[in-house]
Amino acid sequence: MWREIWLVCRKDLIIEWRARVTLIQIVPTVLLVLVVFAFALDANPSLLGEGAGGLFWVAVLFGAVLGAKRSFDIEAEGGNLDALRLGGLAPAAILWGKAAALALQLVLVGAFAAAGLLVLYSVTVHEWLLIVVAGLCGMAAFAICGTLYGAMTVGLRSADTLLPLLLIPVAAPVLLAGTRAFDVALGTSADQGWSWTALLAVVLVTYIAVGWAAAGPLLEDA
Amino acid sequence: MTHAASVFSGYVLAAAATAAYVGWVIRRGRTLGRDLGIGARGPVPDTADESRPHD
Amino acid sequence: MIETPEPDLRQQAQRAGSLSMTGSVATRALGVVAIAAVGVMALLALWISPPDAVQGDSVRLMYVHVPSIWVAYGGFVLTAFASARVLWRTRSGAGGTYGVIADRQARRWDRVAGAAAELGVLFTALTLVTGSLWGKVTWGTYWQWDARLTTTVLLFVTYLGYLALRRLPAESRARARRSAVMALIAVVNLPIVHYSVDWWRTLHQEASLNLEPGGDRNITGEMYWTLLYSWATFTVVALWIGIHRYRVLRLEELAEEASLEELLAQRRDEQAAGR
Repeated sequence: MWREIWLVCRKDLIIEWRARVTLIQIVPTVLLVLVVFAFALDANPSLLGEGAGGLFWVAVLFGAVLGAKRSFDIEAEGGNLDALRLGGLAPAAILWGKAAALALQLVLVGAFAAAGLLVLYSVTVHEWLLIVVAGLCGMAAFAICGTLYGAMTVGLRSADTLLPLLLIPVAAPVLLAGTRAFDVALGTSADQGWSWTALLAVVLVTYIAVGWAAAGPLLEDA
Repeated sequence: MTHAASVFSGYVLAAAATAAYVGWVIRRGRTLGRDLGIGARGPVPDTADESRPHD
Repeated sequence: MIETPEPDLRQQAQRAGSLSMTGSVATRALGVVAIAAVGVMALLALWISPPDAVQGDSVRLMYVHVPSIWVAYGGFVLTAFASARVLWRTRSGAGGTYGVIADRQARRWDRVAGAAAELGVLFTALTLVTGSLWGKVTWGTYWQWDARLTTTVLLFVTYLGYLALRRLPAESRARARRSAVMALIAVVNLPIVHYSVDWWRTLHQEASLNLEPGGDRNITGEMYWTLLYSWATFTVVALWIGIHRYRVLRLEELAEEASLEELLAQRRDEQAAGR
């Protein structure tokens, strides 16, 4: 099982390495969102600093939607998904492999976005550990959710427009908890950062459970 | 906004929305039934006894 | 439009007859009961029940607001239940003769899920509209970032997405499974959204005063009975509409199959003419 997951994950990462869609398209888009927020808030440094935590997560959520779409675009071409199934891979292995690859790419996106916060919004980080743990939990949750919904809409003609509508409400708890945790880590709020991170972990565990149950029905005759 | 006005608009909106939905469902059922040759009020009588396998 | 259906289609349609007419004796009776109940409810809610000591007449919005969300929740739970049945019926290994029966049952449950979700969305919308009208009178704004409001609007958008997913053309079995998975994710996600939003508010401000209709204020007497009666009325109305919607979904499936048949026939004719 682990080997199959690794195979699928590696396949996705190799495709990304060759095409560099995440690096050349998604990362710049996310950074662009951060820049555009500055227009919306009239380039007010104190406002940007205060909202930095939330803006980070909104920007990364957009990145996650794009990443989920991309992750299944490469499968829709030429019936790739069927080929994987015919190759004897279990649906769960495909799902988790793709989720792992997407999570790694989102970590990359998140790292660039965090760097963007430091440079563009000139925030100061009080708790690096909180940023890293909350960030990793959040990216993993986005990745699993995105993979599930990507699998749900794969091959549909209006998947591009439907995916954000489906994904954004589901991602609301991640957005909320991640924002609170980042606000604490950036020193803009005196909340309980670690309990929000714990909530992120709970969400993550729930998504993993849902993923196990949904992999079969979603991918079996897709 | 006065209390009476809000109550009135709330009830009217709720009733209108529900009625619109009911109307849409019934009309759609009629249209589809007619298109399929079933008729809005059940199987066409003269052909109903032709073949009705027990299922 | 099909002027003269193919013989096999006609048979099929007739076999489906008992299911496919959207009005039957039972539903017509149910409809009469529903409309009468709505009439009585209007009397009770707008006339007989007293105005509230604090909220005055605006409390009457509660008799629409609260039953709506109860019915909506019921609809979403039914959607989840029916979706679980769909997945159970279409699980791998359900092949052979059993597979055919299982497939038919899965389609039935799929229709139940679709009809229930649509009603849920309708009644959630009613809750949001009546709630914001009430808020305008009581709070002075249509919208407050209250935990419950936020959760309800997310619920609404989630199931709008579910309906959008259902509408997409696809092979019926795959579509049923896909929407079933989404319905289950949505229902699992609900408590998470609810509690996270709850914590968001409670960690940041004093508990918002619970003046929401149907909040924790104790209501007694005529108001209580009116509320209960409204809930029964809404349930009957929802049931009535739901049965019709279920039947319309059945007709939609038949029509889809019919148009496919027609296309195939056309194609055959074209080929025959080409030779």
